[in-house]
Amino acid sequence: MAQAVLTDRQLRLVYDLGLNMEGKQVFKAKTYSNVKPAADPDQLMATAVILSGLQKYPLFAAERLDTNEIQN
Amino acid sequence: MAKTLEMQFVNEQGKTVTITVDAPKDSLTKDEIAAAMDGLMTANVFISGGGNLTSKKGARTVDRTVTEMDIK
Repeated sequence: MAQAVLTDRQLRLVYDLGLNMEGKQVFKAKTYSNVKPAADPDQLMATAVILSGLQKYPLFAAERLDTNEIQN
Repeated sequence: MAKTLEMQFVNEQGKTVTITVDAPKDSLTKDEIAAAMDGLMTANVFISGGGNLTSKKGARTVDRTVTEMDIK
C-alpha cells in the first residue's frame, strides 16, 4: 500500500491589509520555511501570534503547509 | 518605503539565522522585540541547517526605498 511521508513543513501567515482604492479586500501572505516537522499546532499558533504581534496589520489566518511524498 | 524587521539568532553551529517580519509596528521597543525573540525560541518551531536556535544575536530594521528614474 502506498504511503504519504511528510518531507517539509512551512508556516504561512496571511495578513489583512484592509480595502484598496477599488474597495477590494487585500491580503498579504508571508511564508516561513525551516519549520520543524515535529512542531504541533499549539507551537505553530504561539509562533504565529508572536510574529503577527510585531506586525502592523491584523492576522487574518495562520496556515500550515505540508509537503508529503507518496511512496510505495 | 518598505520596512522590514530582521531578528537574528545564533544556531547550534554558531551561525546566524535571520527571521524577518514585514511592515513591523513603528512603536516596537527593544524589550518587545527581545521578548518576541525569546518567545520564538520557547515555541521551538524553527530549525536551521545548523540545528536549533540557541541564543539571540541582535535585531535591526531595514528600510528599502525605491525611486523610479525616467530614462529614455
